[in-house]
Amino acid sequence: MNPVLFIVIPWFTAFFVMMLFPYLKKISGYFLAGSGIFSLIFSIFISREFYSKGVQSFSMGSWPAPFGINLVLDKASIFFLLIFNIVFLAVVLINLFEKKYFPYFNLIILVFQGAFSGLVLTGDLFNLFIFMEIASISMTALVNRSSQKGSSEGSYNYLILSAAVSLFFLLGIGFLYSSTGTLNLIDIFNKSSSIPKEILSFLPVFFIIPFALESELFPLNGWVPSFYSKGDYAVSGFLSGISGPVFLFLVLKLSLWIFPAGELSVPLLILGIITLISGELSALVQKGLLKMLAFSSIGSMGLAMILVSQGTVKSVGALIFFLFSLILSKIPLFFVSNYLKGKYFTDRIAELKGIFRIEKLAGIIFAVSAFSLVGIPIFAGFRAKLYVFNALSEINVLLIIPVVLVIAVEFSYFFNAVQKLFFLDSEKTVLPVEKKQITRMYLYISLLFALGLFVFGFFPEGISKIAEEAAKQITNPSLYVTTVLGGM
Amino acid sequence: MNIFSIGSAVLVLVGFYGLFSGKNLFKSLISLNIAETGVNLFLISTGYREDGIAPILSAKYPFSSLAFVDPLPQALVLTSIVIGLAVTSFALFLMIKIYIKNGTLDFSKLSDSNGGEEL
Repeated sequence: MNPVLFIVIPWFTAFFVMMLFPYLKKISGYFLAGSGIFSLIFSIFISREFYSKGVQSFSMGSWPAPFGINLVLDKASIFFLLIFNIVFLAVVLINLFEKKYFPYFNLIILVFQGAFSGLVLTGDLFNLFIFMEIASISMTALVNRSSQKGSSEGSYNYLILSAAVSLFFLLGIGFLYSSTGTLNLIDIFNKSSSIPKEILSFLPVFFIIPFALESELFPLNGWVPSFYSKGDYAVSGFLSGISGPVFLFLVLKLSLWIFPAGELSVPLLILGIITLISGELSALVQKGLLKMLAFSSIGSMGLAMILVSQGTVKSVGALIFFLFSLILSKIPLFFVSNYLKGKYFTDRIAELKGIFRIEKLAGIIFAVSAFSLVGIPIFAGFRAKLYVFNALSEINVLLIIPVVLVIAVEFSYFFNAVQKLFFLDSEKTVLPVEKKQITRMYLYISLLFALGLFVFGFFPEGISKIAEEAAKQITNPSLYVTTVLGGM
Repeated sequence: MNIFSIGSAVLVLVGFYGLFSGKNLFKSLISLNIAETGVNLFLISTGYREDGIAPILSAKYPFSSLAFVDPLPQALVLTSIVIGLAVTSFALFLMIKIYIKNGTLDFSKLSDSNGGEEL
């Protein structure tokens, strides 16, 4: 079993959809569903076969690494692929019930799926660049497809910004190649001591800038709010549930493997703290649900980046668990808000006051995921915050201060939103009357995610064990050397 | 420091200056392309060798030789040109859409990047 199928199957299907969709409009959604189901089943197979076997490397076209391209499969990437494909299938199911997206949407989302699988799997720097570009083009196309006002401007902004910063990445690749003579991540780790001091002093800039943009770090996150609140329905949940965490995982890999001496850790820590504070404070003053969630997701990325910057086994383990609980709670939050916006044409909290009296299921899901995100006991988010506290307090007690502040801020705006959406003012009861038929699939799928928050809140042992094992593996790149560079 | 690195640095600086100072969307895209050319020139120059020959095994050079230029950066640049083309064409498509909607490509006159929505 070769994990290249994760990349090939979606792109092959995308090609088919493109060729066939003038004739077979109705069934292109089933192609998408087919690709989604295949990838999920395949990722289950891959995790059963390779999880306990340690690091695996697959060279393409039987050119052994570092001369050829290779894909690296470790515990962390197996775990990410599994979650990624579950989220993907959720979006596909919604898409099947939401008929209006056929077939352009299906095409792009298949390209997106292949690109993100590639980002998780790839073992060399130049392919990372290519997958990043494909991912950002397909993300732009997804948002541009939206019928909402300003979507073209928002997506144009993002496209130009990401193209500009990816030039930095390309320059960084050039400098690394000229000083080490290789593009393989593990081979670079092997030769990292041979990078001259004068190059090493400015090299981190070239890697921090592009990834700061993609993983929503301050000050390059200006695109996030308009981007996420403009996407139609399922898209924004999908983007925030997958793209942020995947890029964060990549930053982790780069900081541990290319800069093993920790050149990235201080800049990432500072950026992380600023992002955390600025994101959460901006979320506090938002009046629309989707913008509030977008800023809150910026804040969470900041917290995650603090964990990345430390790079100890415990902090990386906490990071993986934190991302897991973040995905589980962000997706239902976005889906429910999108559902409300689709049905009542607004996402402003003031206009939706008391809406959860009518939409009871949506209300329960929203409240559960919001409270888990904040870190209220019995939910998975509480366990995640606990691991984060443990990991950070071991390194430096001062690091806990921003985290505590943020929990307080998060609590206040989520509590405020939940309270307003549940309770009516007795004087003015103006609920939106205008509404549109929209599939309830959003709610059913969100319900599954919210149930997951309960289950993993009570039984976090399985996930925390995976997180710990994956962290032990990824923080020790010398484990990879013999497997990946066996051809040397 | 050879002529290629200096040239690429100049191109990148010109490109980024245009990208961040220009108000017209079209001009910013052109600046992006200029910067891209600079980066590609830099990548090519990392594999450049004075008096180097094409890395092809021939009767004169039956085995790999130190006289060869490094082919890997060339392959990379080829790929990055293709990617740049894709980004440019997609950006042009978006630009046409923006122009049809707003009647202008002036960044400051567009209804602001948030789509004219407060908070």
